[in-house]
Amino acid sequence: MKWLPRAFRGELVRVFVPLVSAVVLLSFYTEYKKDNFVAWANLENILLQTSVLGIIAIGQTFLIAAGQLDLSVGTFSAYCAVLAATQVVNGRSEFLAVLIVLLVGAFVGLIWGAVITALKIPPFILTLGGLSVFQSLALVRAKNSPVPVRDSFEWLRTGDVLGLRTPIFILFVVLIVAAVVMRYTRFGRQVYALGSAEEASYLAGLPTTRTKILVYVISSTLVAVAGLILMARIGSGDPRSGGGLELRAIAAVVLGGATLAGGRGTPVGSFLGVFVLGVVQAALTFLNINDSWSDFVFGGVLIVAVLITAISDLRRDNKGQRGPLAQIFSMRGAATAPVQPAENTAIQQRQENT
Amino acid sequence: MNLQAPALDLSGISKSYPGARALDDVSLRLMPGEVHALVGENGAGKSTLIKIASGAIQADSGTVSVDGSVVANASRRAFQALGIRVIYQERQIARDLSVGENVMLDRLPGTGLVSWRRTMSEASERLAVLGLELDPRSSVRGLSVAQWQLIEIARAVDYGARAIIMDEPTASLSRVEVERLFDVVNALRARGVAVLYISHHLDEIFHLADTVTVLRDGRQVFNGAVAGLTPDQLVNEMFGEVSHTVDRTDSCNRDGGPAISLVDVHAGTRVRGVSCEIYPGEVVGFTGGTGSGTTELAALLVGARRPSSGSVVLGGGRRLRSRTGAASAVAFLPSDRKRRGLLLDKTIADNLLLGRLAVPGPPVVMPRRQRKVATMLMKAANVKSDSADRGVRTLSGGNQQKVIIGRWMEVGTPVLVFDEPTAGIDIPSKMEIYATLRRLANEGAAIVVCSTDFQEVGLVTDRVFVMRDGRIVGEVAGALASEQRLIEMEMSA
Repeated sequence: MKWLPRAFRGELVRVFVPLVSAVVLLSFYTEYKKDNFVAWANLENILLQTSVLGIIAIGQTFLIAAGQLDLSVGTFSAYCAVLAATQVVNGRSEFLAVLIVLLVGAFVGLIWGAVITALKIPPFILTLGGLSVFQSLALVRAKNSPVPVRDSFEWLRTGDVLGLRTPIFILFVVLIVAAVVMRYTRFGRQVYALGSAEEASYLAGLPTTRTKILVYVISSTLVAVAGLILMARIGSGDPRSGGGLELRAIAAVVLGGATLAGGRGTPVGSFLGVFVLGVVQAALTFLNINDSWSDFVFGGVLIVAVLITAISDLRRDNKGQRGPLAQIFSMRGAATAPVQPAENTAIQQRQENT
Repeated sequence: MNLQAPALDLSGISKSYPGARALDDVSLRLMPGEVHALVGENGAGKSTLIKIASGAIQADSGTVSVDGSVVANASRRAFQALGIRVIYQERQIARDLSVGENVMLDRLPGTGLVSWRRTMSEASERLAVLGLELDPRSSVRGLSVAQWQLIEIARAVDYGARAIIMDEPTASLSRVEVERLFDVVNALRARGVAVLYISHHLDEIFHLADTVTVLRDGRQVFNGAVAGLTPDQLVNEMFGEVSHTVDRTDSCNRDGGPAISLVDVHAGTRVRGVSCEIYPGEVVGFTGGTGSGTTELAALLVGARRPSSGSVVLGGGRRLRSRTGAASAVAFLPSDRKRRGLLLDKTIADNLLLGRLAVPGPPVVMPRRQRKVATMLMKAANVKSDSADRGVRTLSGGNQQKVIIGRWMEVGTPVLVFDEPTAGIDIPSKMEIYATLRRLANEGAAIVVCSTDFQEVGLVTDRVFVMRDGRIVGEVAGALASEQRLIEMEMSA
């Protein structure tokens, strides 16, 4: 494994090998039971189906690596889908509709980032509110039923770029750019530092506020992209289409090696997490297993993956620093960091001063 | 002849971690009513021994007995039930509970239902013994570190206990509070409770302890009575021979104006009107008791705290307005390294590179090049580890501080502000860090050391400002700043 980039080796053993072997094993089992599972057409189908979730999960990776979270991504993608559809129905050009949706995405991210950094609100509660707000906005804008756009966005639904279906092409471009940004730019390294220890990063002089706002802008813009694909693929702006995507995205990111405590996680890992979920779903369909089992399998995969990671972490640093439960829930900072008196933290001091 | 069984008897204890032997055949016996000091530099095995003695981890070999009977495969809870109590080095405070509930955390009184009346009255009594007049119903938030430490001491002090293990109990206490703690330890001794006392402060050990055990590299190198030992002998047992002098070449350069200056800076009630100028190439100390304002001054100097009036002016006349983006003008090395200085879950390399992420630079970073830089910095800062890829968590306190110093090497930041640079660091590492400070000053940096350790500022600085109640009450040349002189200046003001 010497030829691999050094930082990759740890992740390779911890995340990539288990995920890829899960995909391979499951694929060949399904192939053995029913033919034609391992085939380009099927792979293309899986990638198409996972493109929306994949793009959202890559956006969420930026947030989680920075120690942030956005629970509103599912309903916001539905809102973006509805927004794009209504724009076209109202006679705007496809180009303008796409532009508007992307700008709305970036703007919403800017608002999240600004509010969360300025008022120091935990993102969990704030974006939980956002989840409901966007659901409602989508329903109001769509007047409670899907807005059909059968004749528009043909290029996004069935078009090809460089021999790949457009959504798959967009997914891969997003994946590659995100992976490069996280690994090869100062911004990417600042994201990991922020997620690893916010106060230490701030005191070292890193632009923590800017970094935090930027990760929300990136994530929300990617959610807008995902919303456009969602709309094109269904052929309508469906206000109820994005439900539950936020939890699946977070699950995929964690499956891909991140911890909710922040400081870890890679776009490639998150994509593999999404892909594993996609292969499981496809295999269930192929094997004619009742669809009711799909959530069970999905949850099971997540639980097993997190248990494996926790156990391997336990063995790696068996210094007894963290309890096994803390490890399993990955709440490292929260569970064992020695607490400090409130008045001593710089963040508190800033609040005192303002 | 003492026919009593030892309160706590550790016999032939060995413990290994992957790649390191933490303890090698260590035996330690605590008789009832004995105050037994445990000393050794960081990484000598003290923490591991305490963990074994309190049931947090199991020894690979050897036995632990309480009152003469061997405890096998016991948990922390079982040891607690046997009367072994521990005051941990790191604060164990439930921030959302009241003062009283924190004191009584492990034994809320009442049968079935908690009796809050008894909880609060008993907590008050326990706190009063330590001289802490706090309403037990008030919140622990907003209390000082010293008060938190006293709350934990109040929790562990139990006159019915067999043995109490105190791990650095005076780390953040003032002189008066330390005296109170000594009274408590003496009272415990009189009641026949054994105390295992861990401290870096040798004067405390000579003042308090009957016997002392010295650990070095996991082995027991000394075990005997304190009476008849001299401090120098003890230090030699702990570290081998150490030199106690620091080079003090004056490299101060006043030609180009100050590197950073404070102009009548106020910050609430913590800092009240401080003005001073600090020049390139000098090491300046700010010292005083806890609460004198030195820590707040450090935060002000780096922009982590905004002055309520007055200003901090950088070299070149620019005003310092916020911490963000200020790293190329002034670097900060905070006191609480683990939480405020380090990315604790990251590697040594990641931590060394943080300084470079804080100052302007090219937007693209190449991992291969970064690794080279990290390895270079690790050497320059003399961090002792075989690879920059190791987790920074695995390093000793001294080496962690060297990582934070290394972060600012070769960055060219003209001012470096240290808050308590060597708190909790062993003597050899301290000396290395002092030498590094001097080297940075000789290379032209202005170094500010905010420290409550009088010995430290006397040893390392060119000029010392003595602070009390947020004001500068005196200035003295570093060479003349003996511990006694500094105490006199602080008192007489």
